[in-house]
Amino acid sequence: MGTFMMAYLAVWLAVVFYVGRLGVRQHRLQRTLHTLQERIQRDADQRESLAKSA
Amino acid sequence: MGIITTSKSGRPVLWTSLVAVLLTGAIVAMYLAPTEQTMGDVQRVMYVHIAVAWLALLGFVAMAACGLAYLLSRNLWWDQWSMATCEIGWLCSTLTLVTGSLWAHAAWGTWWTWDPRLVSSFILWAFYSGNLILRSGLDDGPQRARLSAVLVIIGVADVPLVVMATRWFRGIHPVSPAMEPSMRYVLLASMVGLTAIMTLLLVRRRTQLQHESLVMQLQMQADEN
Repeated sequence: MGTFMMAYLAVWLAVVFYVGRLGVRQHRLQRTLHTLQERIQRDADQRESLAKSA
Repeated sequence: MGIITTSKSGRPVLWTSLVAVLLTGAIVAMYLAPTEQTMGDVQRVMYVHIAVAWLALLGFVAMAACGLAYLLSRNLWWDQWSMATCEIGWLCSTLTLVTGSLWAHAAWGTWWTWDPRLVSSFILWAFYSGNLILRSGLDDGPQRARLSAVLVIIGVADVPLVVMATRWFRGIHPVSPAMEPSMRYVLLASMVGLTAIMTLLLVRRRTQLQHESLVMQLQMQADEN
């Protein structure tokens, strides 16, 4: 039964590893999107203030 | 900007179903499947080994189909599917070699032997790995998609070799072991369960790749402005 348990453990570890990797990538993607959102908002604000001052 | 959302509500469902399928598979294979007379409990490895081997082969055929579809349509949507399939297929191919090695050590007394089935399976793994290396070395775009598609279409020739290796060449790998009906049901359940898990992961990864591509486009637009 030990060999079977090892084989099943390998599958478990592989799935956990892959799901974890998916999670890390998703977190990174969210962070990039958030930074991008802030940047676009800042640029828009700057443009608006420039237009007002003009 | 609201194109990407993390579906936190979907996560417990994903995790619960993953754990349920894997646990049920282990319990069924350990306690419901009868013990094989000559090999004993070692034979239970087959319920995992055959299931992941099937997925590795299916993954490669699917990846080649995506590659061909890309070459015909030049639509990067196919390349995203190909990339996601490559990652999942590589995982299954690696698991095939690992579980096969564990079984071989118990049954044959060696971790590896130059059997035609083993060698052709290793070549399949090498094609998967080569494709991942190629993709990581090139920038996202048509050139990467084209080269990857060509590599995969060449590599798919190995799939019939893996399937037929035990019939076409002389080796020590079992051809198609005779199984009791109850053993076949357990094997089928294991294959269906693992296929469902891998399909779920594949779809999630493809969606993620699509989002990554959209974020990259937005970033480029922001840089231009």
